[in-house]
Amino acid sequence: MEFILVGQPNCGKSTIFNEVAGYKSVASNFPGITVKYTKSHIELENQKISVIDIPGTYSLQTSDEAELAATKYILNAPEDAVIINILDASVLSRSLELTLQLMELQKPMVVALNMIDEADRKGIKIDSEKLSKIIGAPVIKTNGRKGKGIYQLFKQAYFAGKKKIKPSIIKGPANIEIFSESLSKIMKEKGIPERWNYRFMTLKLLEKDDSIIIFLDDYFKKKDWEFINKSVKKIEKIPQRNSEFIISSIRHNMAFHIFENVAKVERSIKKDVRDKLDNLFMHPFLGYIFLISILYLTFWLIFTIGGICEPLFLNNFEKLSKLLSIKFADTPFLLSFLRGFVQGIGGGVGIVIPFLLPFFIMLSLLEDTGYLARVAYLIDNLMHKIGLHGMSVVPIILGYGCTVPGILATRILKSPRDKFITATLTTMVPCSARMTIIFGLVGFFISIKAAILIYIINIIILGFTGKLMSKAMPQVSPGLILEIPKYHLPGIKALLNKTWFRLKEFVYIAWPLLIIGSIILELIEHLNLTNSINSFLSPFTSGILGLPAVVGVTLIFGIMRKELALILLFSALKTKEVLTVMTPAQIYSFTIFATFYIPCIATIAALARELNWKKAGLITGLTFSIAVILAVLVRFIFPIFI
Amino acid sequence: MGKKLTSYKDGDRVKIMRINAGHGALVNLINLGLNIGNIVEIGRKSNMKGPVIVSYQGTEVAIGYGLATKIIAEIA
Repeated sequence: MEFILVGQPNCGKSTIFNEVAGYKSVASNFPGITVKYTKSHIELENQKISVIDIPGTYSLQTSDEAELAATKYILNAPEDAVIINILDASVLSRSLELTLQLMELQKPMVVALNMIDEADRKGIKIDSEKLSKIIGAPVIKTNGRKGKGIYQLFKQAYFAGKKKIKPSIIKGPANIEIFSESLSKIMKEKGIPERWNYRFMTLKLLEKDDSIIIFLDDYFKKKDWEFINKSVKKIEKIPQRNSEFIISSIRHNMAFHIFENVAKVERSIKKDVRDKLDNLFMHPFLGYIFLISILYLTFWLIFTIGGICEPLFLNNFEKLSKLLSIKFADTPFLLSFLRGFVQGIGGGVGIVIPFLLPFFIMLSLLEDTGYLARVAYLIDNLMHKIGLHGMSVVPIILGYGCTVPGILATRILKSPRDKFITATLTTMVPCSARMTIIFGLVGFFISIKAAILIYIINIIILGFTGKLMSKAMPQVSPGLILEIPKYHLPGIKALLNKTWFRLKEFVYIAWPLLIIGSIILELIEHLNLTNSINSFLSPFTSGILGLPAVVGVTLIFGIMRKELALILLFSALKTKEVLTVMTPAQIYSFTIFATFYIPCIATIAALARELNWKKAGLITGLTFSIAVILAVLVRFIFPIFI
Repeated sequence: MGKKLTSYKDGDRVKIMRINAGHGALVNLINLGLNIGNIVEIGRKSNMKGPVIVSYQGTEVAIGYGLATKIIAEIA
């Protein structure tokens, strides 16, 4: 047997899933973050049951990847699948619109009235028995965050699956039902699988759902489409409205009607403290002050924690590396290999624990409380100036921690164009590894102000690049449509799950590449290729960028691991007193170049995965060109000011 | 008949008359319950061409300024 969890974004679905499944799914207070579905197993009545958590979806009408994934999964679910529809009881009427669509599928289902505590607080009293009678499926009140009612929910789901109880069919206007009946006959003749309920498919056709149209095109001939088009026109004729509006209005009214029947609002919705919070956080002026303060505080906290922890880890790995040098002194090749391996592991530990972990915890906190949606709201018109909208802010902020999860987060964007531009900008944001170069070189040898200036230059360049790219790709972005969720106190379990989920993307994608990169680098050194690489690159490094030729290899190393550019610069220059061999202008130009140039290999892999290799190549070329232009500009302008 | 959603004040209760948006945005709006004929309350309109917030039945939705100009509504 299989349980499929379906619900609208912010309904607490992932929290319920986490409750039963452990560390696998991510709860999210930012619509549409879980695009891929997650599977887990539970044991119930001595049976192993699969539980599938599919992306939160407002309806089965597909307008983005998340909704398409959800609809596809449910349509093709196995015979014995049970739909567990989770509703946010505090917005019952809207939630029922999805329930009505799920009922159309005529598969066994149960309904969870989740966040029942929130509904209580709003004074909404729901008669679950009455609701159960109307929809023809068990209805259970649950409170996911406290784990209340969840066992009962799954037990009822099990019985619904055993008995194969189908939900009621709530009929619409006669003309639509007649159309559905005649079309169902045609569908049966054409051999369309019955598990894609014919009435459901008819309604989808009326909703002009592209994916369903493509789907049915394999079965239907021209004659059938003509019949469908004629019938749709007839249905549209009297209300003088497009059929998709007709269907959604019917459903909307039906949902509201059911809501009025089963729920009583005992007192008018009282504004609570959380509404007042938005008077500050979403205020046209104060909102931005809070935004800057919150982001500043977040970054300050991360850098402080990171700064304290980093040396602790790195020192130990340095000791280990020295120990290896003594132990394996007789076998230099093996030694290089092992040293590369240890450095790769150490580099990962040195980034993950001091910087990424606190960064992701803070970000998950901002997300789960609901603040991130406010950030998207506040920043929306700023992002419009560069042709994007508020949703793009999430990948970009993530990019300050590690570019890889930032790139993967571009999934939440609906249009490929927005995704491409956002991914490009995210790649250019200085991640925590690049931060160590900026503060380790410019911050240490020139001044902290000069280091912060790099961040400011970076933001300006991001703005320009975004503007140019959106000019080059003038398609209209669909614009921001974002539910502003209520503020929630985040659950610790969900928070940790999400942090781990993001960290996993670094651990599984970036870290192995980091280790391989480190091994290759050690081998390059072992084989004495350093000098040949330096002299090969010198026309570029010395000629164009005006840097000492020895930095050549450090830049190659930097592609493997950005922060290596700094560590290796010291060893390439054979001193930590960089100022004795490089001028401040050279340091600044090197740092700017290292910040922007080719993304690290893990980022390139992530770009190829989320976009494609061609776009990954384009982004690499673009960032490299920007890096060269900026570095040359710094080379000639910097000496004028100093 | 009817005015753009962006031309209303905070606290106005309006009925959505027409949505002149593309299919993608339209589906998104309908999914969130912003269908023709629905009544919503305008809240927190930011003054610098930022998103318009509409609320109804306990749900708050932010709509980008550009898209909000394509939604035609009248006072309910």
